[in-house]
Amino acid sequence: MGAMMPGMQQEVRNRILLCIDELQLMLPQGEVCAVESAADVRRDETLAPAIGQIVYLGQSWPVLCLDGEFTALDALMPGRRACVMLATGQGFLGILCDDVRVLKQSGTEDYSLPVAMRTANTPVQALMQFESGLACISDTSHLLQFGAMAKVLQQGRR
Amino acid sequence: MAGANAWMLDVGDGKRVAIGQRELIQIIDGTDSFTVPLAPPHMREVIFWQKRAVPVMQLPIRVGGEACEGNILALVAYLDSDGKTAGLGAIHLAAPPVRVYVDDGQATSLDDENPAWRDLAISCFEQAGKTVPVLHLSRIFSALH
Repeated sequence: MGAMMPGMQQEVRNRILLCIDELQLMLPQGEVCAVESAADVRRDETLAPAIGQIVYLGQSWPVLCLDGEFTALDALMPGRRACVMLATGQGFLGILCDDVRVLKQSGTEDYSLPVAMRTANTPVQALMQFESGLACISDTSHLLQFGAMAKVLQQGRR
Repeated sequence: MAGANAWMLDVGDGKRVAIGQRELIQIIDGTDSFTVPLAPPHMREVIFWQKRAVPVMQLPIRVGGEACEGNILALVAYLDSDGKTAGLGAIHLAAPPVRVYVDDGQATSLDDENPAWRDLAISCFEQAGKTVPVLHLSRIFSALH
């Protein structure tokens, strides 16, 4: 990486870090509409793979409880205390997380996911070393094409 | 009879493979690796080496065996699918690599017992009564799954 010259500006990326078990998932900050409390998730009348519903902007929206492999769980994990609201284009989807943080990153490096590690529709687009661990970088459009998230979206279209 | 130097790699689970002499870049011992969610079972780990994200292969898992438990990695180079740029990959080893000289007389056909080897190997040879596949690194590390 070249040295910074006077007048040069480093790109600053605003991201949201979602911690789900061991998974550290980074999304562009602008794609997270709100962070609600997991205590507000209602478990009644829910269509799997959603684990419950949450009221946001006056309507109920499905909520997913994922594990660190993006698989939907059918039990609410005790550590999940935040519910991140993502816009789906037709409404919203809640994802339960253990922790959520806003990051302002400058001068950090993303690495494309190596070709040999890509599987069909994986939402992981890039990797980054983060706080002595690994962060996976994605965005809403890729998340919503994968697994339980795509299924919830299809259910909303019916 | 023509011949060439190669590196013999003990990849664990009783399996040995070979790569070309110039394909081995470095041996890395005890480096931190990270698990990537949703990656294929034999390619779950990544290491960061000289500002590159390098996928780490557990070769025995790819052919239906048990994972190599050693923490030695062979850092290998291959030609990317465009044929112009060098890609990097890493392979778990159970023991340090051994240099061998292989001549044309040792060439043999690939084992039919496991079809997975046909995707992994470019050729194979016989050494001490055993068949040793020669890895096709470009195919292994450039392939989508």
